[in-house]
Amino acid sequence: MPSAIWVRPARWLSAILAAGSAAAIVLVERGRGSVAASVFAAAADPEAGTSIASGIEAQITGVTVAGALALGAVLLLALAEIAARHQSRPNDQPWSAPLLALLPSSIGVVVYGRALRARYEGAAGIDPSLKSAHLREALVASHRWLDLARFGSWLAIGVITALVLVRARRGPVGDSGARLFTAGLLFVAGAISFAVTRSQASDHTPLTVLPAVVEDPTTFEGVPRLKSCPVQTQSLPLLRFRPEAVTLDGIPVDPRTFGDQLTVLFANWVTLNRGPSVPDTSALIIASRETPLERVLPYLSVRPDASWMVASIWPVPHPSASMGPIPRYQHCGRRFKLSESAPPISQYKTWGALAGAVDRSPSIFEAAPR
Amino acid sequence: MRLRQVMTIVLAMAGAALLDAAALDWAGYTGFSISMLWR
Repeated sequence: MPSAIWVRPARWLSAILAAGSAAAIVLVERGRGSVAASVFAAAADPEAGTSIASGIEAQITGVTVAGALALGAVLLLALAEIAARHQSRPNDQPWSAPLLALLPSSIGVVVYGRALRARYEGAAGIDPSLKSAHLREALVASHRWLDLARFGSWLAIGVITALVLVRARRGPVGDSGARLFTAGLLFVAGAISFAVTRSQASDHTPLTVLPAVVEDPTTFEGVPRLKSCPVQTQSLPLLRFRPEAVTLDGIPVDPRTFGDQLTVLFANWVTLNRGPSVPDTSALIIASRETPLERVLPYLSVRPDASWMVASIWPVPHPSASMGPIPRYQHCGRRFKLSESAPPISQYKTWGALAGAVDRSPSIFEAAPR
Repeated sequence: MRLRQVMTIVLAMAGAALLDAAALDWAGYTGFSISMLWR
């Protein structure tokens, strides 16, 4: 029979494609491992961002390739089985049937991978402040292909099972212990695959986009942690006390020039697109708990009746099934006001002590700048 | 139809269904992994 010529090569080629698909799966899993490692190593590793990007790239490529190779392997094997059955065992059960039931999911994975690629690359030119929300929407939209494939898969399983059962009832068909054994192997392979992907199935939704996410929590190491700390999304000047220097929006300042710099900054606030109007808070102050208050006070004194804000971060860990709790933080802060009629601020020796008092205050904390 | 035949069909189709579900869930995790970008 002419068909016999290509049945064996088709089976071999199918096996090779299946092996290639398995290799692509390994590539994807390595990419996922790289992303996971970066997430937890971010505090110490400045290259974590690059590692996440390469891990994501490996996944998008790997998913598409794994799906395409699996699709080729399934199609080839199914065709080879159909030819072999017609050639030598016309009464056998149509063994290609369960293979054909794998087609919708293989096609779905390929289309999903291609959609991910297009949308991921399409997000490159988006405004950085909108990029996360745009990308999340794109991920959710791409996932619809998988939902469609799931529906197609269930439909195929139902129709094919019904057809095979009807055919088996109609007439005598051959069966053997070997076929039952192979079916058992397929079931075991399916059950194992299903079991090992349960945590990934639980994490099918992308993380939510936090309105005030802290991109680099290490910047906030040592800052006071507050019990009551509203999320801080307002655009404010950033006054940061480092051990070696004090900076205003990243530019070194000292108490003599700070007042003028703040005045100039607020005069150009709207022009610089920092916000629709000048904020009612002078600055968001990032300082470690141990910072002596006598180091901060000269800066506060340039606006002796103004409001300031204690900067902190608020943990919002995500309880993932695949990676455990994923550390996430939002910017948060508590406002306090300077007022000559209030008790002197110098009673607090450190920034941490002042922040504690601000945190305990049921209303806006007030203190005199002396 | 013999019991062995029914078992063969059921096992094979159930195995295919489980493989389908696993493949789709595995691929779908990519979206979650990409969302680490804006953690």
